[in-house]
Amino acid sequence: MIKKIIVVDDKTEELEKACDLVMAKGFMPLACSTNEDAVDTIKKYQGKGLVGILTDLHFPVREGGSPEGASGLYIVYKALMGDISVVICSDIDHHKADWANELIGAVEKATGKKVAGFVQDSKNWERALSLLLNEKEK
Amino acid sequence: MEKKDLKVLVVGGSDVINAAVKSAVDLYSVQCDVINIEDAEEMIFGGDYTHIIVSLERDEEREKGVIFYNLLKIRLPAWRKNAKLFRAGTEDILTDDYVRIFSIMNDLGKKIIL
Repeated sequence: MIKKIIVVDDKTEELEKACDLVMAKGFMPLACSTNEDAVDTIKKYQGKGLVGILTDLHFPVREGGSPEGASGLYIVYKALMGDISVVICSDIDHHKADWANELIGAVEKATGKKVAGFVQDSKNWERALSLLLNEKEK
Repeated sequence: MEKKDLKVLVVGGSDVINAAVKSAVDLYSVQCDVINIEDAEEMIFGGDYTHIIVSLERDEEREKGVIFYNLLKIRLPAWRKNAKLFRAGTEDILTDDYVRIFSIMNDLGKKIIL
């Protein structure tokens, strides 16, 4: 069975950049641009070679929808509930990161599980992937 | 692209439509595989298909087919796959990416085989 990593971002160039890195490490990337796609993909591949999730924070819930709001938190919640490793990768700046960290903390508290990492300030997918793979090696 | 280099994958939940599309492609002596939606992604990721046809028509599978078609529009470029993506159905849609089942031979000939 091919090992898979879900990658969530609404920007095509970011998705392709992240997916290239995932493929270079020998995994099959499952690109998603909306919340709905990501949740469907989690359901489809949970227990079927799914290694983990790399997700942005801001993207639309539905195709063509507004990217306002931290939709990625829902993916984080679904991942943690399903005991799937997840790393957040967002170019959210320091000023906004405070509330994002608080919300992530609340999700962690609610699920009793921790995210494998939160890469802030830049879309550093390489760092995010490295955090995810380190988590899997533990 | 020469006919011998074409490799078509038919994806869908309807055995009838899958078989209809495959039979039509076979008549052109072009390589063609058929797979259900559930198992299609690994096959596409690991394969070298030049054309992928997602069949849409069967009431309970229709939405599933549309969702899968839209997902492939994102995933194919992310996998660096150049396969051309088509939908197949019974509606009289004339766009280049739609293969009409009722005139399948004509549409395959014009839009894929060239």
